[in-house]
Amino acid sequence: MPREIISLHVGQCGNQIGSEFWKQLCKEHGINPKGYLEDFAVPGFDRKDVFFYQSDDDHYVPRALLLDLEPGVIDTIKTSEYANLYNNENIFKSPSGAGSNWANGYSQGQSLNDTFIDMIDREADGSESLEGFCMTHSISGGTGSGMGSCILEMLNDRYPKKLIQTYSVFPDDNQVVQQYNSLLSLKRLISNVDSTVVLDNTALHRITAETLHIDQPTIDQTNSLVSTVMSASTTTLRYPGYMNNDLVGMLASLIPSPKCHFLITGYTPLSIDRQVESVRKTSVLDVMRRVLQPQNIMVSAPTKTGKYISMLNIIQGDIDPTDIHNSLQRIREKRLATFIDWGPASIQVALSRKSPYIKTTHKVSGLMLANHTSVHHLFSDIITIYDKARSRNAFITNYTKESQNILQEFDDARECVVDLINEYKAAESSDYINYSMNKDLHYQQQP
Amino acid sequence: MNFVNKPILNTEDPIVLKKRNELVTDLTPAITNFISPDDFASNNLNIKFKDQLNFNSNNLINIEEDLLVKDIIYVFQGIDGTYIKFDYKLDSYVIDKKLSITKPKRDLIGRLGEFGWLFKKVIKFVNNSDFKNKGLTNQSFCSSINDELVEFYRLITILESQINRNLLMIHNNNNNINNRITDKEYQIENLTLKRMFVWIQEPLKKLKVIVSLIDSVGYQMKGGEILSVIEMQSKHGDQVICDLVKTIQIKTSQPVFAMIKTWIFEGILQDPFKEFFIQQNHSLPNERIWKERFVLAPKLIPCFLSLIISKRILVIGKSINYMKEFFSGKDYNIPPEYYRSNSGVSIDYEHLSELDLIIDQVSKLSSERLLKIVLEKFKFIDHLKALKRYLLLGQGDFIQYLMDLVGEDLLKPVKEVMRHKLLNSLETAIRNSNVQFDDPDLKNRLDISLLEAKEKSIGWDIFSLDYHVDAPLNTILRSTDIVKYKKIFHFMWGIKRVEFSLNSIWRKFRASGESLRSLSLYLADFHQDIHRSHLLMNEMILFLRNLQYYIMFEVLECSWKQLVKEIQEAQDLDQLIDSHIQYLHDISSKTFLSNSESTYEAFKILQSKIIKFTNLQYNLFKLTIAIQNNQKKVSQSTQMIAQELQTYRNHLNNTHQEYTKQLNIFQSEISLLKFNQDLNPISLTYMLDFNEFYKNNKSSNII
Repeated sequence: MPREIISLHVGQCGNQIGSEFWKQLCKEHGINPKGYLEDFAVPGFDRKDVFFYQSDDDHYVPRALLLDLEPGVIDTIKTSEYANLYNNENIFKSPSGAGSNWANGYSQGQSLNDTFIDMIDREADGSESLEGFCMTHSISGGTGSGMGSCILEMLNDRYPKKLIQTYSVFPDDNQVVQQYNSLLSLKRLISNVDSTVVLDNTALHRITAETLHIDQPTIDQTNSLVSTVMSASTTTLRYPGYMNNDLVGMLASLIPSPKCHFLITGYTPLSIDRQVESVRKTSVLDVMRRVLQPQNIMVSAPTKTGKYISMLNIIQGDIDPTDIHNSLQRIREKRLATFIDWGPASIQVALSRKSPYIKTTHKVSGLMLANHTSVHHLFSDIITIYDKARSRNAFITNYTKESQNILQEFDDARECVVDLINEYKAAESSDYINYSMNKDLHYQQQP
Repeated sequence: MNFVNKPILNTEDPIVLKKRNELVTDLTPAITNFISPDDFASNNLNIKFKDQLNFNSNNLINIEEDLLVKDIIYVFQGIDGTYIKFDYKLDSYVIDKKLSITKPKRDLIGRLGEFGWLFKKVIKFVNNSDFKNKGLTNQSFCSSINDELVEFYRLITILESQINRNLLMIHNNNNNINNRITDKEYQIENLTLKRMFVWIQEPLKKLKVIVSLIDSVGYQMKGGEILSVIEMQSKHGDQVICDLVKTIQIKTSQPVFAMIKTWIFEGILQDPFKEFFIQQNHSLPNERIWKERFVLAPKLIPCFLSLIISKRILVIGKSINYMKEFFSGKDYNIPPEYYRSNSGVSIDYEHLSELDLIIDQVSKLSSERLLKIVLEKFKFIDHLKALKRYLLLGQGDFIQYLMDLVGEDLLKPVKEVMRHKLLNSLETAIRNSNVQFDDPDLKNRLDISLLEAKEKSIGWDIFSLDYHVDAPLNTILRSTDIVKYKKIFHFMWGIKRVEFSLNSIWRKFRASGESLRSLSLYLADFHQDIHRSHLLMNEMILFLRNLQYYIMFEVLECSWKQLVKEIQEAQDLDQLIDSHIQYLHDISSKTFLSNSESTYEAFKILQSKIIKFTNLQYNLFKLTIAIQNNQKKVSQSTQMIAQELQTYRNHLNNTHQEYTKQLNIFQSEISLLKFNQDLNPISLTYMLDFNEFYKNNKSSNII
């Protein structure tokens, strides 16, 4: 069955990423901005029904909801050439904004709950065998984090059997409010989400500056990096092959233990709008090696420390499958990646076809999706800043005025995140199999 | 005597030489030792010529030489003379014992008699209708010998005329005293036995060769066998013999060359006597036609044609024949100008050296034509691609759709599995996946077949996709090939099935996280068991995925790449078919389906352990649902739940142990396999244990 995925783009960042993502998908599938198939597009090669459905007049409509508490980004989309791509019923904007406040976004989300449920139910009813949901958002603002959190809870509650995946942008500066919002969102990402692809703004900016040599990257430019990752990570779903045809299969192999579901990504060759960076030689080995290099990893966590729990390399383009074995061997010999030792772990490789409609300068591109223990550093950083600020009660009133229970929320969220950090740390030791999930124990351990 | 199975003998070969010598020495004594005193009394002289005979002192009759000369003429023709007759008992010509003949003369007559003996043998041979009825080659062999006999008849005529001249001279001598020839002159002019012996030396040599040919051919050979025998004798140092044998060979080989001609230019087998080295098998099923309808009869291949050339000749003709049968409506004959333009060569023994070139060109042309037709009209590669996508699970969306649809049904016992229901699901899967866009000629061939059921089989055990091959496609894509595909399908489908159920458990674990955590209320530290379950499941998932990576990259894609390469390089249909057979063989052996039963068995057991694990988890989920549904009554059955959880814990531990043990067995099976040169499962060994977890575990256990 098609195993449809419904995308939810929440907040400013979420919608920007979303619009880039759909642009990319349209290009790859030969769909024009108005949603109609280009003349040159031939059926049978790809699989559009996972992300699109066809309306009565053959219009390809994204299975997407565009939700924002401020009109800016959505208005931009609505005035762009892609204005008619989306289903208007799936667009929600409000003039009010969430003021970069999780609590505000969350409470607005609660009051809009029924509206959203209607939209999601309608979209879900339109699919034959819904696989799950995919949310793009930032966790540090107001709407994407607050309202996003609210929606995640609702989805989990209403569709417990469906997968929930998020592409979550982590903050790039240490503003207290952003860290507060992130902490509160993280709790939802931990408890209500099956898999989060961590996109770290710090790393994205580093990549644009250092790898792409853009000093003042625009939001569009950074977002196009994200949309590249998103489209690459969904290629095996969109271009069916022998393996990795469904999200659940991919995630099941990447995420052994439910809580440790924060995936990092690496991509090569990196470029924006595909105008620069022609890579001299791209063999499978090159691609596999490059995606392991910190400068190509879109998370600022120190991946040279810690261990890989799992790894999937999605390689696109014209490659010789017989090269894979040798490449894997070389990577193992050179110990380019350190794996956990409490269980089997390997580099999985998915070969995926490339869209025939997009010309690229590089022969081969690769995406790494990995579960790496060092991701806990991102969470630890948030906790550190939170702890400091919280001890001073900095900006707390912003939150308490929105919600009375917010302090309890903070405590719960912190506990939840610390739990996660501990589990990731535990996963670095060979004794992980005996790791206890008993929360009470951790309470006692915390000073 | 049959030389055919022996290597070609050249005439210097001691066997042949000895044979000839034997022939000669055998004969001479047979004729010379003809008189014994015991026989003497019984001898009875022909009265008719009595007056011409003088009896000598030993009461033996003296005889004039010219009478003997006259007799020898008869003998030369294989006819009995007056004094020299054929004795069947002795198998030689015998001189009347009452004649008094000097020893040297007797020897001489003996040697002349050899000629007659040989001649008689040849006549007998060429007149044997049994032999001639064996085939056209036999007939031409006889007729070529007959042609040679003409020479001998001419010789005999000459000799006869000599005798007549003798007689005339004697007559003249008697009547014309003036012109009387002196004795001395007579001696010079007259045909004496000695002179005759000189006369026949050259013909005798030839006759011996012919007889030697006849002896080697015998009465049983036909077609190419005969040609091979002749060929073996053709390489003789003596140019005369060489030429003779060659002449005979040229004539004898004509029918076979004519057959080659109609065969390679028209694909027609014109062989009423079944003497051609290509033979036809009749009434074969379609799928055996290409390989088996026309086959080489190695015995009948003339030794001047190499096996390679013969095979190519076979392929050329059968290609044309095949095209004519299955792609009618076009002329597939090789146009005459195609081969005539090449400096007017003709196909016969004299132009044997040019045959290679002709075969080369014609075979190229016909093979190219046939390959083109098979690739284009049969869409051979399209079918192979379709098989790879359908039966080797390459079309992931279709396979997934199908599995989603039939999964539940296949859990049922065999007798409850309804084929029509499965077919409906197949239709739906085709309609909703990218298979819908495939060429109808490909997708319409998809079908479901149910394999033979064993006791306690469920749907999964017997389900298989099928691919219809009909005539004429099944001449090259045979149903035996499809059976192999089905075997591989069954294996891979089984892996996918287990992978799918593990995935669905993974999903259920996510969905029921809360209720699972609450189980710790019933049994202390139960969350530990859940955690272990997660990790064990992860081990299994990774195992299956790595196995599939191995199958995909190391087996399917590599074999496919090889196949595509070979298809591109194929020069004739046989190569095309063979590379496909090799492809299937590669896949089968690399997936342990052939030649490695114990590995396959180990895998099957391992798979059953995984299924056991999935069942265990399903039971756990059932329990959590039951608990949720009976929240209020729970307090009463706390004990029971705890008990069930304890059972789960025990089962989990067991399964874990069994799985680890079996995985170990499987891994050591694979490591044993690598000694098999045909297989390279090293990549599998190492894919299954990329981070050397199992290796380290094993070694730490040993310590």
